[in-house]
Amino acid sequence: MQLTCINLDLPLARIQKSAVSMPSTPQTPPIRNTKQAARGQHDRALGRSCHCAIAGCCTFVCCCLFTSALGAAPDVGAPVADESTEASGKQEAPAGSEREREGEAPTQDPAGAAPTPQLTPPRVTHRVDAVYPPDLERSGQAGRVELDVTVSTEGRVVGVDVALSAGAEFDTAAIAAVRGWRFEPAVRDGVQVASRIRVPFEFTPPAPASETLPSGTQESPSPQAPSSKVEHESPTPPATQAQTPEADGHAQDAVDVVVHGRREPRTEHRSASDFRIGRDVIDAAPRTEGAEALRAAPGLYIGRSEGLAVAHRYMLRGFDADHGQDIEFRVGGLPINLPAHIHGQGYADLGFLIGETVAELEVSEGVSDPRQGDFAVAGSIDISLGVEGERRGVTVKSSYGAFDTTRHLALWAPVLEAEETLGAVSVLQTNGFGENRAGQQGSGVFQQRFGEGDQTYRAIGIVHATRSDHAGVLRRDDVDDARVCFHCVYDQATARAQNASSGRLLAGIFSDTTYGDRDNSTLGMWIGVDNFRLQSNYTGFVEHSRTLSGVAGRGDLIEQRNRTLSAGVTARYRSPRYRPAHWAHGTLEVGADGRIDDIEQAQNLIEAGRNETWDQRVDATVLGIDLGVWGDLDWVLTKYAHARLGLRADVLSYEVDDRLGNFVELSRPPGSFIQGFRRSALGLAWGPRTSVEVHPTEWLSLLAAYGEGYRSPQARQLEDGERAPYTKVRSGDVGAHVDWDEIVHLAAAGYYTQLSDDVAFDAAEGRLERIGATRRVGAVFHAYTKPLPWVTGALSVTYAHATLLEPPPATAEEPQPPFKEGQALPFVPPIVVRADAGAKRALATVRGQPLGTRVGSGLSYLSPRPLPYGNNSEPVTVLDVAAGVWWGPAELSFELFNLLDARYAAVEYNFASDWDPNDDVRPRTPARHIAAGAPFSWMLSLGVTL
Amino acid sequence: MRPWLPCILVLCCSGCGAETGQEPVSIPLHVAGSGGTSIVLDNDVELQVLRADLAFGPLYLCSGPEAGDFCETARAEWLDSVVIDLLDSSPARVGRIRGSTGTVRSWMYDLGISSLLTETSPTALDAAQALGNASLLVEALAERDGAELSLTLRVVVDQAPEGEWGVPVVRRSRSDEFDHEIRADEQGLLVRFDAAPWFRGLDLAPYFEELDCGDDAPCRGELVIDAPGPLYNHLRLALEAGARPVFDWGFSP
Repeated sequence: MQLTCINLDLPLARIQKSAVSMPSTPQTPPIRNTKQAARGQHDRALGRSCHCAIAGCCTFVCCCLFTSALGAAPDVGAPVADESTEASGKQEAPAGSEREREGEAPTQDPAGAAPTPQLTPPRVTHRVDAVYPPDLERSGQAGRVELDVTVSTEGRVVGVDVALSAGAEFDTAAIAAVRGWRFEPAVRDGVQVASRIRVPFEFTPPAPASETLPSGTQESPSPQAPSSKVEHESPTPPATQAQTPEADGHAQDAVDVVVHGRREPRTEHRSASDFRIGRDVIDAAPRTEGAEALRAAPGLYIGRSEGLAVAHRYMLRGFDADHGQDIEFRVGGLPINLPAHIHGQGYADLGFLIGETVAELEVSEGVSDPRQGDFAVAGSIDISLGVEGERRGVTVKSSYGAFDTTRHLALWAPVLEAEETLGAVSVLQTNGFGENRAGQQGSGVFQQRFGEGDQTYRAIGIVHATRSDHAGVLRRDDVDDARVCFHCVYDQATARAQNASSGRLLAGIFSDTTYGDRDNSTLGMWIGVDNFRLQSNYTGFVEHSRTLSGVAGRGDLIEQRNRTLSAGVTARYRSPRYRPAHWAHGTLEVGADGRIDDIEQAQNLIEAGRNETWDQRVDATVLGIDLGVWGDLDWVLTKYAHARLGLRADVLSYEVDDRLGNFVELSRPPGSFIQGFRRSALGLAWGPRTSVEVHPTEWLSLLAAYGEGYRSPQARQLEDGERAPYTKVRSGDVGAHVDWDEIVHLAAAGYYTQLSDDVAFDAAEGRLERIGATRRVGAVFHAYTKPLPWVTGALSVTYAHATLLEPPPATAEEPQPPFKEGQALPFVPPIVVRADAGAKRALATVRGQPLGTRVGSGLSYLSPRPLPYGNNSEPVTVLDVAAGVWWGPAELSFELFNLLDARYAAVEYNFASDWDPNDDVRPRTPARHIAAGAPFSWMLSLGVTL
Repeated sequence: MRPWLPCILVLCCSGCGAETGQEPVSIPLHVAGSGGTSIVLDNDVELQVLRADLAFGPLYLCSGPEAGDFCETARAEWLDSVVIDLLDSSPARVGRIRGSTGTVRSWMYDLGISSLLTETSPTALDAAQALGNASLLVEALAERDGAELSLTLRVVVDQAPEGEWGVPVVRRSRSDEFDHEIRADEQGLLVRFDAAPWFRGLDLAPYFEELDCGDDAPCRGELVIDAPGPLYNHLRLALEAGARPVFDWGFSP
C-alpha cells in the first residue's frame, strides 16, 4: 500500500439548532441550504466557478490516498494519520490558497526530492444535514467532532472513525450525517483512488427564539435561515451561542461547507414504549418482503396466511390486530388503514412496501400522542421512506429463490437530492410454497422533496397491484391423520378456487413551512383508491343459502369485494416558544386531520368452477367521514422534567345503504316490502394524551404516559341513530430509557390497555365480531446496541396478559358465546421475542474497489396462543439468516429463511368446519385450523448501484 | 445476555398457561332402550312388541336454549349412528362425545337419516341402512278379542325439503328440561329411550275391524306400514316431538 499524505482543505461542518452560521467572508454569498450548496458545487464543478467545493475551508488535515492501482486494502480502522503529519499539513498549507480553489490539493514532497504525483482530493457532491442531538437541547452544549472518513473510488463513504470526540451524542450525529455524504472521488495522476479525509463538525446550540442574538456573532437572522426544520428552541447559554466561525479561527473559509443543523419536527419520546427503529436494525436481518421490516418493532409480529394479495396479520403488545384494526399505520405520512373494510376494520395492507426504501420505523405503542387517530389502539407505526447517501444512485437488483420466486427491483435515488427523494419499482412472481400459493405483484413508490428555504414540499405516490392464490386453512386433525399435507390445500374445487387480488393507489402532497425557524406548520392533502377482492373458504361445507330455497350447499367459498375511494387533509401548526419563567418554556401545537371514505362492499357465496352466486350476504355502500382535532402543550420544566399535555377529539359520521337490510330468510312472500335498510350514525370520541419525562441523569429517562383513544366501529353493524358506538381505549405506560454512550440503549416499560368493546375474528363469517370489554397488562423490554460501528444488535421481549373482562352480548345466533369473564383472549401470544443482529464491514480493496461483507440474522418467537374453546396453539420459532459480499457497486447476497425449517402455523383458529361433507355428517364442534407458515426457503440476489 | 433477562423470561412464561375458557372433553356415550315388550293400547288392544330397533345419531349438545339453526357451533357432539334395541334396557357403549367444558342447554339429533348441506335429498347413515333406510323398525303382534294382527312398522324421520336443511330433525323443545354443566371429569352420558309412549297412541281398531274373521278360521291379519298414513304419521310425529329420551349425566357402567 502506498500512502501519500497531502494537505487538504476540508469543510467545517457546522451544526446549529436555530440558524446556520453565516460566514463573514464578503466575497461569497451565503449558502442557504444543502441543496443550494450542492447546486453551487455542481456549478463549480461545471466550470462556472474556479472555487473548489471544499477549497477555502477551515482546516488542514491529512488525506491519505490509497493507490488503487496497487489494489491495496485501506486500513479502515487505523488512525487517519500520525500527529506529525497532520500538524505539518496544518502548518504548510495556507487556507484558501489559489491552488486549492482550483480544486487541487497541494502537493507535498516530504523528502524534498522528486515531484509528487498530482492529487485531486475528493469533492463533496451530496451532503446530509446533521441533526443537533435532541437530548442535548436542554444543556445547550457546543462541541466539535472530527471524523476520519474513508471515501471509496465511487465516492461513497465506506469507513468512518472518530478522530476528535465531543461526546457520544455529537459523535453519533456527525457519523450519521457523514455516512450519507457522497463525493467525487480523489484522483491521483488521473486515476480515481480511495482516500481518507478528515471532516470536522462544529455543533453549536441554537439561539433562543425569543431572545436577541448576542452582538458580534455572525448568526444569521431567522428570516435568512435556510431549510432547518426547527420546531422549538432549547435554552442556550449566551456564551455558547457565540460559537462563530471566527471562534475556530477559520471563519473566512467556512463558507461552502456549512452543514445545517436539522431538528426533528417533534419531541421524540412521549412514552417509554416509543421506539425509533433505524435502517441499521431493519437491514440487519433478511426480510422476504418490505413489510417484514415491521418485525423489528418491539412486540410486533406479522405473518401471511392468505397469500400476497391479502394484508398481513399483525400482533402487537397483547393485541391480535388482525389485518390492522389495532394499529394505525402511516407510510410517508399517508394513512394506510381502511375504515369499515369488508375483510376487517382498519384493514391495512402493507404489501406495497419496498424494503429498500424503508428508512425508519417510528413505533408508538399505546396511546399517548394527540396525533394518533383511528385504530391507534395497540399503537401506531409511522414508516418513513428514504434512501441514505451510501445507497443513493440508481440500483438494479434481481433475485431468484426457492419456489421459483423471482424479484426485480429498480431504485432511483438521485445523489444530489434529499434522502426522501426516491423512486422504486418492484416486481415479484412466485409459485409459492406448497400448493395453491402462486402469486404476482408489482409495486411502485415515488417520493420527492422539493422547494427551498423555509418552504419545502414533499410529494409521494404509491401504486400497487397483486393477485395470488391461497390455500386457506386446514383442519389440524386432517393434517395429523394425513388426509391433507401441511403445505397443501383441500382437494375440493371450492378450496382450490381460493384467491385474492388487490390494487391501491395513494398520492399526497405535503407542505412544510418554517417561520423564522421558531414556529412551523405542515399542510397536506392525499387521495387513495383501493380495490380488494377475495375468494376464501374457511369452513368447507357448512353454509346454506339464505336467499334461495331448495339449493344444496356448494361450498362456503365466500367472495368479499371492497372498493374504497378516500381523500383527506391534514394540517398542524406549532407555535413559537413561550417562556414565562427562566426555568420553564414550551410550545403549543394544534392540528386537524380529516378524511372521507366512499366504500362499496359485497359478500357472496359462490360456487367454484361455474362461478355462480348462490347466496348474498352483504351488499352495501358506506360513506364515512372522520374529522379529528388536537392540541398539544409541550413544556420543558427545568432541565430535569418535560411534560406534555394533549387532547384529541374526533367526530365520526357514517351513512350506510344496506341493500340487503330487512332481509328475512325465506319467511315472507315477495312483495310485502322492498328490501333494503338505510341508516346513519354519528358520534364523538375524545380523550387526553399526556406524558411526563424526568431526567435524573444524562443517561436515564423516566417516563409515564396516559392516553385515551378509540377505534371506529364497523359501520355496517351500526343501528340507525346510534351514538358514539366507539371502542374506548385507555392506555397507561410507565418505564425508563437508558443510554450508555450510544453503545447500548435500553428501554423497559410496563403497560396497561383497556378496551370498552373489543372484537375477534369469526371464521364462519370471515370477519370480526364483537367480544366485549378486554384488558391487557404487560411489559416490554427493548435493547439496542452498536458495540462497533459495523455491528448492530437489537432484542425485544414483550409480555402480555390479555383477558376478557365481560363476555360478549348474547345474540340469537350465539346465545352463549364461547367466552367467559376472565379468560385469556384468543389468538394473543403472551410472549413475543424478536432478535436482530447484523454486521457489515469493508474488508479490503480489490482492483481499486472496496470489498466487504455482511451477515445478519433475525429470530422471532411467539409463545403458544390461547384459542377459543379451550385450545392453545403451538409456539412459533423462525430463524432467518443472510450473508453477502459487495465489491464496488455490486452486491451479492444469499438469504435463508426459516433456517430451522420449523413447521409452524402462520395463523391458527378454532371453529367448526366440514371438509368431508359427502362421507359423514357435519361436525359442529370447533376444531383447530391452521394456515401453514412458510418452510425453509432461500433467495439469491445480485444488485448493482451506480 | 444480561443475568436478569432470564428472570424476566421466566416470569413471562408464567403467563403462558392462561385460562382459555373451556377445556376439551371426551365423554363415553351409552344408549339403552326401556326394556318393556307389552303395551296396552286404546280400544283394548294389547301390543306385544317383538322387535323395536331405532336408528340414532348423530347427536349434538348445544350451549344455547334452542338448538337447530341456533346451534351452528355445538358444545359437544357424537357424529356416529347406531341401532338401539329399544327392548333392551341394558346400556350399550357406542362411542364418545367430544367437545369442550361448559354449559349445555339444548340438544338435537337425527334418527339415522341426515340432511347433508351438499345433498338435495336426505342421506341414510349406517344405522338407518341396517334398518332398510328407516329410522324405526318395529315388529309386533297386536291382539284384541282373540284377533291377532301382525304388525311391521318402518318409519323414516328425515328433514323435509322446506325445513331447515342441514339441521337435525329432533330437537329439544322449550318444555324439555335440559341444563347441564359439562366438566372436564365427566364420567359418561346415558341416553335412554322409552318407546312405549310412542306406541300408546296407535289406533289399531280400524285395522282389526277390517279383518275378515270367519267363525271357524282364526282371526289373523298382517299389516305393513311403511308409507305416510295414520299409523305412520303418528309414529313419525311421536319420534320427532313425542316422548323424549332421558339424558343421564354421570352414568358409569
